[in-house]
Amino acid sequence: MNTMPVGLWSAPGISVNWGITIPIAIVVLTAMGAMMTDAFSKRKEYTALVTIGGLVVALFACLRLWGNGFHATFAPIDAPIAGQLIADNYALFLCMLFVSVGLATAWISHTWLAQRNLMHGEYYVLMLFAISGMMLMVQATELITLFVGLETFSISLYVLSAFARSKKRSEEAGLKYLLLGAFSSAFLLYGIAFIYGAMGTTNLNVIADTLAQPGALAAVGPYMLPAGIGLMLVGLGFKVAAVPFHLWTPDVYEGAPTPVTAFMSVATKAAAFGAMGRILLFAFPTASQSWQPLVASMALATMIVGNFVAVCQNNVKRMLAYSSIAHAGYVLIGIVAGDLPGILFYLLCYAVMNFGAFSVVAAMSRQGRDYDTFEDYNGLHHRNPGLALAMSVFMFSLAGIPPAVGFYGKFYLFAHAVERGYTGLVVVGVLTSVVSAWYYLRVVVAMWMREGEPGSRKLHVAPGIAIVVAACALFTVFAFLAPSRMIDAANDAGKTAVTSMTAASR
Amino acid sequence: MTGLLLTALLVGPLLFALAIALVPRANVRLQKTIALSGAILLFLVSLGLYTGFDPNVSGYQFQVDVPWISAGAFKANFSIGVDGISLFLVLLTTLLTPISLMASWNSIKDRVREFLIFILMLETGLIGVFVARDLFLFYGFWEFQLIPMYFLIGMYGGANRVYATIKFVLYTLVGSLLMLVAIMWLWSQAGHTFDIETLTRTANLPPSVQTWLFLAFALAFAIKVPVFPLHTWLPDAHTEAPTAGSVMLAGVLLKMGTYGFLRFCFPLFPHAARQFSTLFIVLAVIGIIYGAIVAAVQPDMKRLVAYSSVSHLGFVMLGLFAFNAQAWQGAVIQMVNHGISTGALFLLVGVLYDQRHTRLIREYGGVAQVTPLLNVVFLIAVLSSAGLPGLNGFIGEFTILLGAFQSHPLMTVLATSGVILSAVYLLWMFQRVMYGPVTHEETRSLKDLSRWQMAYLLPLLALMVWLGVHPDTVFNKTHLTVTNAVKAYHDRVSPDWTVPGGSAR
Repeated sequence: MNTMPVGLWSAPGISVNWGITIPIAIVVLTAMGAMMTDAFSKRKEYTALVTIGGLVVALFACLRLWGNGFHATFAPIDAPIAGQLIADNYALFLCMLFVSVGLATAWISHTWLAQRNLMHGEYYVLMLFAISGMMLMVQATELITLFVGLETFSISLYVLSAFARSKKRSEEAGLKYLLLGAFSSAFLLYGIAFIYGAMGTTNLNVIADTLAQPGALAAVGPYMLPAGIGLMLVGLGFKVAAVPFHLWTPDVYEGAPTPVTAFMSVATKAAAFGAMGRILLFAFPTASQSWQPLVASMALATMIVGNFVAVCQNNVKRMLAYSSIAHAGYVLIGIVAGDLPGILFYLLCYAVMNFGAFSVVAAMSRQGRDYDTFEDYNGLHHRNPGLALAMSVFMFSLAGIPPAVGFYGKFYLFAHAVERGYTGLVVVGVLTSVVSAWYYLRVVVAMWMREGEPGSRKLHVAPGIAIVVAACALFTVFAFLAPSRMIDAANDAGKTAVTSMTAASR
Repeated sequence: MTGLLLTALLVGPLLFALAIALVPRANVRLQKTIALSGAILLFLVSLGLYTGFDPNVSGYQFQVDVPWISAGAFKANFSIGVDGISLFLVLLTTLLTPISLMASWNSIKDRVREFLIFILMLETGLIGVFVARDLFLFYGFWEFQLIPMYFLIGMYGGANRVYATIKFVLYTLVGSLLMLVAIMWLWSQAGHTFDIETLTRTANLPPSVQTWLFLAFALAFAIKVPVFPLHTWLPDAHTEAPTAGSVMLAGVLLKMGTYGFLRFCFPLFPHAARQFSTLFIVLAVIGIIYGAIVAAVQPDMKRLVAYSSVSHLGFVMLGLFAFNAQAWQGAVIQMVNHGISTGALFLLVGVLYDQRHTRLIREYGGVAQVTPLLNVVFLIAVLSSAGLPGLNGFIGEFTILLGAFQSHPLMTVLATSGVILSAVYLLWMFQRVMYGPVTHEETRSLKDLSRWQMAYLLPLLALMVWLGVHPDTVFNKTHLTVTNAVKAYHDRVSPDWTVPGGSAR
């Protein structure tokens, strides 16, 4: 594959294609712009508007690159710092997901922050930096670049989860996330060092090429590489909230501001899975002996622990935290089965429904107070039928009951896993889904089948949140009727990734 | 354009539900009118299926084939149609829906709009299950009908409704999701298709594989039927459900299970079906006898009728696993009969409950003195359910027992005791409720059946008598489909059968 300049600039002799950095650049520039806006204008709304505008532009930039198969690099492949970034459809699919989630977060954050006197422009700036970090992470074909991306979004999120610093819970969440996150980053970096030690390079293309040679695996030796991959799995497992690296999740999700939780629960997970797919399925498919059993046991533990502990929760936010652990377990099945299209499609479906669910949690809070125990949802259909209906849609979708996209996500992921012979994992997956139906339906029971406190008034939802909730709910149901294009996009992204990696490394 | 008929039946209820959602909340009367007139209209439309159904054509009629999902290897079609087996189940659904709505006309006072929407959603889901010709579409409808039923029991049921509805959903999900894994396996191994006819024609699965897939499918269906010992969700769900929910649940929902055996288990996994036939025959007979004995000792009328369903559905299962045309004919008509008789019984229990707010048999007594008309109607329903010759129940049971006797004489003899037992528990209940002295003063104030109540009970009574004296109404239409299905099954299990056009695997 040859590179195609986007009409920007490419130096003679060096195959540099700045085009692929445009989406990231737009997000970073928007962050700068938002900072300036915040500094020079009294109205905080402008910061939000700049953020939303910039993200929309970034979304179009991603669309513009879609399908062009850029694998341009910042230097000739054979230079010491060989190709570090890539803009294949795989990365773009995820980038669009982050940007869209960022847009939705910006929408729902405004009211939420205003209610609590937390209207600081830094919120949006940090969110934009987080998005740029995620984009960098999934576009990276170089472990060091990937690490830089990971740190960029992690540090932004540490601050964001402690953003409601007047609340003890939020402070605690930020601190917990920071300490444990730093550990996990260290593990990841340690893993990268081991891999460098084993392979003599941190470039994923080169690693993939080297390991594709017959006998290469034996030449590397039995210790260094598996140790490196294992340590990296610890770091990434932490980010996707897989068992046994999940213990921070419920506390952080519960303590962080709800819009931040919504953002983290879908975007961070997607970014970490994007990186995991890139590393394990492109660079180390031949070394699958050393990581498949690990990931498979992680998947098992994650599905079982996530679902069973979710049953015991009395707080909807914590329940959703454990549910998001459980969903990480389902996606891990996709990693084991080496099914990139399935993973991408699942992440997309999961992003919509889970973000919707957290938006409802955000909508429930009023007068600067959270109402997120199950009892707080009692009789919600009397107070706000639309919100109750939307939440029911998300709950049925998360449980994987049609007609909702959640069912497709599961079906697609599981069907491929069955096809590749991982029926045992899938059976555990569906049986734990039955357990999950129990706690998702608890919310529905509270909303429709229990009576709220007498004399409770109508619940008014701010327009910003209402729009996002309605959009997610409509998408969740109506995408069920015509999912072909979504699945096609995920297929396309998953498949081109494979070809572009091999092409880029040629 | 005959396909339009079926599409209208599937989309119609949803459109009426949408119309109801758009009516202002306060205008309950208009909402009810839209729902009922819509349901009656759909019933009339569905009669077009009966008149237009050609009994001399084998296979599906009124077919529609529209591409739905097409992404890489993942292709599912919106393909629907009816054959002799599903025709009457569709008609049963469209008949019981308006009747359920009429029965709830005054008894549901709170959140009426949601109630109507759920009943109509349920109608779509159930019809969808019976007409889907695509495995993926079938599964979608199969799960979809859970949602309205879950709300109907959970929002409008009795005191213990939440427990009952969650139990119902989790129970059915366990089976359904394992079936889903089997569906995925079929899809991935049998040429990436969900088309049921293609799968039936080409999927020549080795017996060892068939065993696993059969078990996964059979578990889902057996829970739905419900086959003993998987029946424990049923009495709870019935006891708590509102009258309309019970009518739909017993009348139609349970038939999804028996229909599934006929439609999927036998054509797709014939070897496994034969291998497990003895087990299922034994379970069916246990279900018949156990259901009847447990029904006899129930203090609660609704629980009694619920356990009678376990017993009656045992007959259907017995017929299915006898694998001959007569028994299958009997099984198909018995599915319809049970829907009519048990539906009527639940409606009548509902009539009593609405006035006295109790379903305990000991709270009644001497009702016949107060309400002669109710007495007559109740008696006809009880006798129909107990299988009195001349009414519909007799036809189904007798045909099943005749067919089953050819293959499993001993078990059939045991099963026949179920006929006697059903007379015992039903007539004993009837006697305690209707005759003797009036034991409670409240009974004296019971009102007899109104014109409105007669309006929705009469069609069922007429069908009980009509199908009892002229069962050919059903048999004529089902005959060809059933005989072909039996023949196909026996061809497949014969050792020298080969796949037409080569193996797909």
